[in-house]
Amino acid sequence: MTRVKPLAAAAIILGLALFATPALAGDKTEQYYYSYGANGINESVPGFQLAMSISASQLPVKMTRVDAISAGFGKIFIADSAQARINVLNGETCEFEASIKLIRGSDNKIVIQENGEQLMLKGPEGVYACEELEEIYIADTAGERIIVLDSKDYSLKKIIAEPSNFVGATSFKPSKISVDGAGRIYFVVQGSYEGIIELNPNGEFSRFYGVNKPKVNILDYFWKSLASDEQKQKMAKSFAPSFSDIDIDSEGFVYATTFDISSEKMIFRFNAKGENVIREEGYLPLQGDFTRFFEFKDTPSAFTAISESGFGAYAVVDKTYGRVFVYDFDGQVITIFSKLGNMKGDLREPSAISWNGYDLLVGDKALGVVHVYKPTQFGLAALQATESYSKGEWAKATELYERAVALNANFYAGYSGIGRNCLMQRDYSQAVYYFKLAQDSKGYSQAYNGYRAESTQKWFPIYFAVVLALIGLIVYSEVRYVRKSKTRF
Amino acid sequence: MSARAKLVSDLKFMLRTIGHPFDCFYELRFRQKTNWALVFCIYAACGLVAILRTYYAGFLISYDTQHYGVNNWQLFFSSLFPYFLFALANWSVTTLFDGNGSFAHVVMVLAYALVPKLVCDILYIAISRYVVLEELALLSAVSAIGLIFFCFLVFAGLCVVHEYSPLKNIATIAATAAAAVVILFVCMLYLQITGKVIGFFTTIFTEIMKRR
Repeated sequence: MTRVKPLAAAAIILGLALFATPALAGDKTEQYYYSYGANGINESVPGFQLAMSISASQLPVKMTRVDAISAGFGKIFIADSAQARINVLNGETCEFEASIKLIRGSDNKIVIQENGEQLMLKGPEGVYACEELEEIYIADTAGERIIVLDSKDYSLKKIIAEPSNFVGATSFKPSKISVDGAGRIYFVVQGSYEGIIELNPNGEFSRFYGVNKPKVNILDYFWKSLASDEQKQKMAKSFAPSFSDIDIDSEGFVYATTFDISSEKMIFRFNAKGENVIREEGYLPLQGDFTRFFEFKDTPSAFTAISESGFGAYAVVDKTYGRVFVYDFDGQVITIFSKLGNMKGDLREPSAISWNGYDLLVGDKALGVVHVYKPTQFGLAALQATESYSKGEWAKATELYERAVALNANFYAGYSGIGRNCLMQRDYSQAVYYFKLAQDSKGYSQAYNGYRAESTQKWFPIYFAVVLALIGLIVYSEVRYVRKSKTRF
Repeated sequence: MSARAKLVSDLKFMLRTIGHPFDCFYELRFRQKTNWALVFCIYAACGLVAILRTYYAGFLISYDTQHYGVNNWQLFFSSLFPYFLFALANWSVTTLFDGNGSFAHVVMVLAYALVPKLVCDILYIAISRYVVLEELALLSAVSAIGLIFFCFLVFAGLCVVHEYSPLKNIATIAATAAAAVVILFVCMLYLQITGKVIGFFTTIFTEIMKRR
């Protein structure tokens, strides 16, 4: 016995040593194309690839910064606050068409302001092409005004300066701007904690809209609950995180994003009441990259711009890792692409994003470049499937989802889409199969519920017979037991 | 008594332990009724159930339908590790607190207490294949019942084998938790240092190989 114990101890120590592995560098997840699923990172087929880059060398004017991009009327509008210009490009060929700096009236004469100066852009950080109103809205941030131009000849329609009924601590420095079909103007002011500002079509101040909730820190909450009023005044206030960019979808919902890491949510879709109604049905919340899956990433994604495609899919661009995330309406990842770097198509400080049909235009503030990314076969199938689904063309959507899945077997939103179609056609067993592939628990649950009800109905006589037999068995044994005990006594 | 008859009677005794823990643990401890083969079989079944759960639990329990990177041995041993740790910690604590049970006794108590938990876990795995999201809460009740039963049996068993009053038993179980943390800490420390040492020698080895 005395000799066994040291031996056992030695065996345990050796066994433990087997578990010890030397730390090895290398991150197999550090790959260029991936998406997120139930198990974390999944390899993915590229969804977008660089088609061309628009930089100052292709333009007759200087372009040193790209603050905002907007596509509309078959044209691309690029706001450059450093040169104080709006550059207009052809939407298809991306050739230079015009550059707006001096604003002309409808009589083609330069507008002279009341103080005798020519009306000139001072530093526009936002531009929005409103197709419904055929107007171009320029947020002239340095000039503290919004300039509205006609979409055809870029002549001045109106200037919206700070409205007389404007309230709040926010200064009137419109940065990113969006306009809905009714002419209501929404804009954000960088660093404002009061929310998005909404103006009526006539330029009057309407309200602050969609206040962003900060994360609640339990420790801070505890200390603040103990602190006296005087102490509270000295403490650092936690302000609502400001929005970095907004966009409006075809139904008038306002998409917004923030790069403040103290914010609880990163991407928003506000309804008319200013409530966030974004769908987060993916496996993981809408936060871009998840640093816990990477060895060399520790700061979260910071979204600087957002763009809605017109069919439910939306794209956000992150300045921490230079990534573009394309989500579908349910918040499932369609594709992730691009990165920070110095190679062709890489970004340094992404600041703007816009859809141009199925293409994505990504603007870089530091490089003064707009990258045009075109969808690959897979990307196109996935986007078109999302579009068909949002239009209610189920059969076409299923066909496209099937194509997308054939091109990229890790496209989970595709399996989900096929599953949803099977569910609508009451083909429950197929729906269960696809929802399992999609690792979609909600969809699976719905489909399985139908499947179970169906099979219960089908096998009901057998279930019934088994239950009857069991009851019979119990009754029989009871009867026999009673008879036996009668004979015994 | 033939081997087969003994096995049957031991199995019957195992089931009786569920209903009459204090009496049965007394007999297991003091009248040498423990069937050690059975104890090891129960632990093996426990590891097996952990593996079964990974492969056969319903989709809503484990999303992973493809089972890439599942290591059966790792599953097996990692599911048994907590019991081993508890037994070790409890034995070390009770030795200091005048407990009369040995390490083997604690291991035996845990094994016999695991029986209802295993039954509930198997039921859980079987039912989980036929539930939808709304019924998941009901399902978790099944495994919770097993867990609570297990805790009660462990409590009863430890009372008997260490000859403790209930209050003292609670105190030693609390101390067991602390001891388990200490053991884990020492293990981690050991693993870290061993890793460093191995890394050091690997580096030296690669250096020599490259300088040749």
